[in-house]
Amino acid sequence: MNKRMKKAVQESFRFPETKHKYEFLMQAEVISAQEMQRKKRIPVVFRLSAAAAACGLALGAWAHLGSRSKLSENDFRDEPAIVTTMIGGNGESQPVTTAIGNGETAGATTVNVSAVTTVRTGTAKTTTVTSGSALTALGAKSRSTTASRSDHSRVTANTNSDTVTVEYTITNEEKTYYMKHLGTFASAFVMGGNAIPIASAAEYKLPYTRMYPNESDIFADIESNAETVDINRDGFFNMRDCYDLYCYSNHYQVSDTVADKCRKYGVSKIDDEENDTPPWLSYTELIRYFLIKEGAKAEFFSTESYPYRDTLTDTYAPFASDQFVSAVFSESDHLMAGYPLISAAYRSGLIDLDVNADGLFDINDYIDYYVCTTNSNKSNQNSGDFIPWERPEATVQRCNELRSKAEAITRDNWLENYFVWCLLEYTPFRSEYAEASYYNSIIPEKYARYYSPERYFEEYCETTGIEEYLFTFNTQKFNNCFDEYCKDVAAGRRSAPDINLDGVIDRSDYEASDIYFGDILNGRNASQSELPSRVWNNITSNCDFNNNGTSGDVYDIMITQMYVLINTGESSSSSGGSYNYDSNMGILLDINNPRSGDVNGDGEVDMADAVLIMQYLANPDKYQLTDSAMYNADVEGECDGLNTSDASAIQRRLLNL
Amino acid sequence: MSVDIKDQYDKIFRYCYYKIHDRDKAEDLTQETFLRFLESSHYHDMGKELHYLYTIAGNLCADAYHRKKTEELSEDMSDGKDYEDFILTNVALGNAIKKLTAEEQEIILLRYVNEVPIGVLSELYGVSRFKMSRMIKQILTRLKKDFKGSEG
Repeated sequence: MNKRMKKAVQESFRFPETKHKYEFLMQAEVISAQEMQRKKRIPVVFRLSAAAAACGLALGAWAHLGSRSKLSENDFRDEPAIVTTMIGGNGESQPVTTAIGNGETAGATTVNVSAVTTVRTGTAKTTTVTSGSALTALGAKSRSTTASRSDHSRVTANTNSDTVTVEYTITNEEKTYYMKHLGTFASAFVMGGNAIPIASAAEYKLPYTRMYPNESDIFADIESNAETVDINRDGFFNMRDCYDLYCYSNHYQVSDTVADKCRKYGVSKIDDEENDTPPWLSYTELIRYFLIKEGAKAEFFSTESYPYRDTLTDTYAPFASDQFVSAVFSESDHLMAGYPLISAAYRSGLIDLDVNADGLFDINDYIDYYVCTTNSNKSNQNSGDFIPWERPEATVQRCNELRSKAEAITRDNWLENYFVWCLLEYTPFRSEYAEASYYNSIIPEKYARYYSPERYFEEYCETTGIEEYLFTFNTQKFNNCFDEYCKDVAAGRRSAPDINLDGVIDRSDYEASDIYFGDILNGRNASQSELPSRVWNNITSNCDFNNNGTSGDVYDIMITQMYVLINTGESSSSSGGSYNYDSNMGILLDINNPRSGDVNGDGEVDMADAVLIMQYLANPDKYQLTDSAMYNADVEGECDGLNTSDASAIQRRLLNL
Repeated sequence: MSVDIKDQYDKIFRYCYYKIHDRDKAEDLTQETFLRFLESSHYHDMGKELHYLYTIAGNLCADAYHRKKTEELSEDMSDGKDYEDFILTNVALGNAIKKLTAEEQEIILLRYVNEVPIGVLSELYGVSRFKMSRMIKQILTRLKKDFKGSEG
């Protein structure tokens, strides 16, 4: 089918636009992520069980193959299965050791060279073993035998002046026997190997911790002294060692082994004036190391768990375990290490994070929880300048229940953080969660100033290094959505970017978008912006020009500015405004301008450079430019420094205006 | 998951719309298709996601069609042919396509509008790849013949 015909067929069909595509895709993204998470959990159990069963079967098969049936007297396999012949360079036969198929071994056998003849015919390998002194000497029956489909090898080596040739023949029976073993082993190996990646994928890591500045060195010392930190010398370093060290340091009764070891390494007790203990050998550091390494587990916080129950048996045992558990809670609180407990509780259904009870755990649950927590804050209640955004009574009740359950599990107050981490673990990450503007369409305007749910996402992004991702500008993505937007506007499917609501597309729309961009980069809200609230709110709620679900993001701003440039009288070109961004790139790249406009140094001049200039102008502390970038960025005017006209100049060049 | 829901959403919608000629219902069925697809995770690992998606959509459309048949027809409801006129915009080619059987039209829609690979189509219709290729070739030959005839 030629392209014209194909296009004609395609264009023959016309379908209506979907109405709820993007709402559904957002929900589907969440469902998909939760499904994947559920899927990831179940197979670990099944596949580990399957791997164990496979290993058991493989071992059973191996053991069974070892007990071969006894051969009958007339069975061919009673013949020598392996014949090894060593022939001296002078043609004389040498004594050799020959293995026999049924397990017997005959030593010092003399084999005549003429006794073994090898015939290879095409692909079929046949060894004819002729009876003679060799077979007779091996105690086999004296008859001519042909062992078809056997393997035959010859190795020739020079030893001084003599040539020694060693030949051996393995019958097909032997090959099958060993191949069965190899096959079984390979099966077991593959089965076991399949299970290993699943097990390692299940390993948990804390999103981030609050370690002390020099603590990583201390942890490195602990790792390099693995034998020393095994305080009770049971061969493992675990919470029991931490507890033993704690008991010794606090004058509780410990076993002789523990006491000997602690004395050997000079572990000090709490009242000791002299302290020669290395800094890494303290129970506090061991607990912290263990919590980070293993993540918090429920048994660490239970006085009934085995380390505390079995180590001490005297009358002071309950006190020791209580105090130790308190110490573990304290360190866990400081490290924010309680998240694994919350995550596990959510998975097992102990806590329900779907606080709005809509059947889906998503960002709306977090917002409800955050609002309820903020509303219940005493200092907020007492301040006269706080208008609470009231949530439904049932939601408030579920939030309170969740908080009390979570605090009972972790005994800390990090649930807002843990909630965010859970959301990011069980649902897809969306960069706009960390932007205040995202919540403006959810929290009513009159309450918006009292709530900042984005702060926990910001904190997460900052501490985990995702911040860069938030403001990443993808030129290709912009190119696609801009072209699509222009076509839609031309076809009347979408409205032009009149973001300041004055009814015309002009320079003031460009400037308004510039101011808004500066606001979002500097964390300013509608009340702090130079823009009228009406305009600011319009951008945050009605200007999702690239249809990504977020109104007023960097793409929307750039679309506005490029569209304004095309539609205003700033054009110096008679092209009438081409919407094809790619086709204009070549023209720009051909310009022999020492100030290239390549601000980000990626070798190309594109929208990302204009965005970087605007980011620098909005927040120079955050978006720093090198000297060469500053030089290349100053494309407009006569070396007058960076300003908005430079970004605008790059945009105009890209549009060939 | 190898199937991109964003890409497939419109295609499944077109398929459903073509089958039942009702925009709102088609979108409901599209979403139902994806929900069922997402909930049945065991199919994702089989490398036949597209096949599975179209099978679900086809079954849901068939169910919807049967339910619709039992409903009382209102006076302003027209038959499917009128909807086809609405869907097929190119008059000459549209006439040629309308002369095809329902199955052939569907194959053309899937192959050239939704760009479903021949391998998936052959699985959907339970024929070999070669037979599917021959079927498509035959359909196109007839389409070209009719198209040229109507133009001339």
